[in-house]
Amino acid sequence: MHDFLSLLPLIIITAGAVLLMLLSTFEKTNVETASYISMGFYGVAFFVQLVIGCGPEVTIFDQTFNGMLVANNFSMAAGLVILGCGFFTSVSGHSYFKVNQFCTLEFYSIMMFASCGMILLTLAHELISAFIAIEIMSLAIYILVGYDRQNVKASEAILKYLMLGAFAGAFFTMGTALIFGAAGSTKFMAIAAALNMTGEISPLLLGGSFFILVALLFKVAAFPFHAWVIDVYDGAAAPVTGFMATALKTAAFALFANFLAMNNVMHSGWVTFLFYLAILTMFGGNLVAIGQDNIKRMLAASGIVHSGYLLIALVALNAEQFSGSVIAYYLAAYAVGTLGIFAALSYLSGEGERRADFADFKGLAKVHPYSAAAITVFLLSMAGIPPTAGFMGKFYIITSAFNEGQVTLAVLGVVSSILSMWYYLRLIINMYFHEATDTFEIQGTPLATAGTFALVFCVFAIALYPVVI
Amino acid sequence: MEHSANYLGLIPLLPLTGALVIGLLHMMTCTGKPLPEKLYSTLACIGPLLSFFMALVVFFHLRDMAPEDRFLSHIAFTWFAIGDLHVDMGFLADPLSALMLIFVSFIGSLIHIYSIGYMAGDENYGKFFAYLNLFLGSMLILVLGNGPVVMFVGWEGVGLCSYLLISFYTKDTDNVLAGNKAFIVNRIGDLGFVLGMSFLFWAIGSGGFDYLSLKENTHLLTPGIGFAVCLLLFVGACGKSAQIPLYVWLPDAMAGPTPVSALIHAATMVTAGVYMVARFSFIYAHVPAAGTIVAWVGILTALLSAIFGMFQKDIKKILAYSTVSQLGYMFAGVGLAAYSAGIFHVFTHAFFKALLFLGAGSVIYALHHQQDIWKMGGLKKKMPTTYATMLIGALALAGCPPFSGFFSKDEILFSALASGHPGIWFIGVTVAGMTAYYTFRMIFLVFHGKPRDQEAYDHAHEPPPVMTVPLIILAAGAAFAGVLNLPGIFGGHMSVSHWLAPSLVEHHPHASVWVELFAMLASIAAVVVGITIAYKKFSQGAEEPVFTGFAKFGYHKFYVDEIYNAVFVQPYKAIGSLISRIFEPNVTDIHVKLSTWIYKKCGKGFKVLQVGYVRVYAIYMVIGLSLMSFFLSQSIN
Repeated sequence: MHDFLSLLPLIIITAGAVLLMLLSTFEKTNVETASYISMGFYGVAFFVQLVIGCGPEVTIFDQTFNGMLVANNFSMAAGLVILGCGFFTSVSGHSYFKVNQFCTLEFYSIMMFASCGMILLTLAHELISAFIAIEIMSLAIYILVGYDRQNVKASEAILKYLMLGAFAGAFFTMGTALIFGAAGSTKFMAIAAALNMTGEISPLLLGGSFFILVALLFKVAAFPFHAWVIDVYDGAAAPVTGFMATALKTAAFALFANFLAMNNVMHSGWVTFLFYLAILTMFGGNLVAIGQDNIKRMLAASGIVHSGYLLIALVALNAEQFSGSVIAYYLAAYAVGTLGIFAALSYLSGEGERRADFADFKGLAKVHPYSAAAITVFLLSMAGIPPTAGFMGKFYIITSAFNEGQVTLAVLGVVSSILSMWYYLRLIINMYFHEATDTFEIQGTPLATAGTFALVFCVFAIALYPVVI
Repeated sequence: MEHSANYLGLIPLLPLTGALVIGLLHMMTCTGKPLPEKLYSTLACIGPLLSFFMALVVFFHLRDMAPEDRFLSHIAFTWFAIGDLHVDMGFLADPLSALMLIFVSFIGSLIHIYSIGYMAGDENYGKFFAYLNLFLGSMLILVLGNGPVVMFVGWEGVGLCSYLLISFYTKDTDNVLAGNKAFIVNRIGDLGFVLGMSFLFWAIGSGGFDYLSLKENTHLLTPGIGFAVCLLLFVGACGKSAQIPLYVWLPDAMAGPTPVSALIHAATMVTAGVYMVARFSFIYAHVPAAGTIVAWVGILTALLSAIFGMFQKDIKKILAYSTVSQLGYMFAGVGLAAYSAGIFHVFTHAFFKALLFLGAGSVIYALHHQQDIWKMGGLKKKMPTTYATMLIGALALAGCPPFSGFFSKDEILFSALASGHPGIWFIGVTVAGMTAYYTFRMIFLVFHGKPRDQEAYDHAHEPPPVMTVPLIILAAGAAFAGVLNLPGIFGGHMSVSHWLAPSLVEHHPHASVWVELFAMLASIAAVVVGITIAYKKFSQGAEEPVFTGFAKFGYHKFYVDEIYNAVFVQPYKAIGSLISRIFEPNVTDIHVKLSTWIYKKCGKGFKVLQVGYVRVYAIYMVIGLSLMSFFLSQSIN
């Protein structure tokens, strides 16, 4: 029974996606209805996931799936984050697409298909199913990125993403092949058993897992595989960017952590490698971010930095007693802040996203003090200022690094978070310390505004009641 | 044996909630049409009154327990825990805090009610009551806290509220400056408190940092550290309770609305220092030398401010100096380990000082904000209730038997004599005479004789009942509160002292009845002399004298403010401007600007890499891959 319950959120979302696909053939249903339907499905799935709650680790339908899917607390938490992201993306999409009229019903359907892939990815403990999940997710996301076919930037973005994604995908399959050759199986448990036998990573396994890591590093936009992320985030519509930045990252990190935590040998083999990558990613991301004048590009670059922090958490994870709580908490905290900014952008940026640069938001606080305050809260959360969720997330990561003896990483993490104040505060300064030249008329529906303030509440709620699962 | 009582947390929470609600209401409506005053005043009075009733519940609850078991505690939540330092947001009610609770909430409530009338028509009516509730809530936290850290929360809270309320009429720069002064001087004291607290934690805090654990661990305190802790804590008390050398803020604090002065002087704020010393009686008992210093500082403060008080002409300033002077007595009491006498004086003083301030408020209200006693006179006929009640307050302040002030003050003086400090006793008696003199100087000038300002006199009238009723209630308290601690010589049982005994570490000096009688008669004689001189000089319509010589010196408060300004404030400002003009731009700024410049340039460099061509991005990946593969192959071999 628990097997079925663990899959229930996934089934609900799939059902919703199919239902929307079918509904789109009817003339009567419009985009707004579709967004309500998708909110409903995400909401229901979220609560189902929450009610099922955590339990012992379950290998879902062991007979049928042959141990491909494993549900545990970590996958549950990651699933919650993904479903929450889907819900709030629908909310901000609702008002975004009032202003930008390129949406059709299938948008929400495709978004839900993407979520299916993501949830599947969090459950995958086997390389082939992981690959399928990645492809379900990626194909859907490609479409979402280029949804506005009239927009040259979006078309450019989808092309770049598709080509580089295919490039990275090739590594994943190559890696799978090598690992299968070395371990005789693609299941994590079997690979772990093979590793335990030898006690160290054989060259074939090393090469295989290296390729897998490269593909995953591409998905989480770690340095030096980060270059696509800025152009793609910039080109996509604001809600889509928010969805990508949060849900996709959550799913990719879930697989990443599961893969590394398969056993101690695997993890310790990659610690040094990830150590340097984490540093490069944090500082590279910071340097990219300070050069940006566009808010979405800045957020894309700051997403790279957050991937760097998560890499610290990966370095510091304990493969023997892996719970993933630190990673899941950080992902949730990051998701709340990022989604909040994109929700705010989706009702503030206006038609065709004409307000996109830092300078365009000058004096926002004078016109919309509450929205400006909300954005400030999100930015401070991302910068890691107490008492926000972002602070607690960073706190847990840095503590875990200390506990694992990674003092250098902990210190560099703090330094990097100080550097990141540069671009977060820059927006705050623009909003508060300038006279308003724009009227900042709020377009669309009040739903995105409501979503924004709900997320402000989440920022503090998650911080004050850190449910470290 | 401790008993837990969940409702303890509610006592400070109620006024604090009131403050939040009123504050939010005021903030939401401050630009538009204000809400009705009735709404604010009702909301404001609910919290303090409920707190008062709960304080009574606490009292009766404690009374029903055996004397040595009288502890009620409630731990609301763990505030923080770092290493050895584990601090709970906890509340402790024992006989000492219960006594404080009752009169703080009682007098606080009366002042709230009085303010309904006094503040009527003010544009910031809501804001005033929000602050007032916050003030009372902070004081209740201070009194109820179960350890130094929680006390410090309330301590800072009252400091903040005093600042907000003293400079309440922000339109006048002087008020704002007075608020600043109060805040800054208090901060200096707070530094002492924080240092003292840190020393205490460092020395004996590892076994738990609440009063009960500290009390158990006091024997571990070395005399040197104990002495330092006592003195540092006393510096904190000096700031809050206006003792030498930090008393300068209190007279200026008269800038606030008169109910605020009453609240600061009677129920909250200034009593905090005395309470704190009594709370830490277990440490002060450990190092008697520190106590002697406290006592001497106290009695000298009493003398100095009594001298200042004799020459002031602002009715509120006279009362302000009388407060400083009475606080001096209290410190003399607690310094000489007569804690119950000191606390009892806090208790009686709360009644008669609140009464005098509220009475002065009525006079000021009636005369349209005239505060100069040389412009008053003959108000006896116009304001009989105010006159009668203020007369009772003045008699209590002067220490006339059988009013409350007599018993409490006499007990302090007696314990000074009995514990072998005749110097303190002698100064105390002298100050008692001076107090009687300046108090009755004020009464005679304001209420007797002929009106000096005929026009203001004609318009004067008794304030509304919402203001006079609290006066009458307080007058009853000022008259009879002394009975609660009637010494054996009058057939009493020292009930308050017995009540407080479990909370305090106290030695009762033994002295013969004759000594007690002698002390009593001496102070009565001093009071009689003081009142007689005042009567001779001022009851028949004296004219404002031109101060010369010593009187001028006294009127200008020995130029202490000017000296402080020249010795501390100006050099400090000079150093500040030096740093801001020379050090800041030439040293720190260069470093900051250099690092930002480098960082910015790096960012610019990285931006160039973001060319936008897919092929270039793919090349990045390939380069990255190649380097990593190289790194891996190295690590394998």
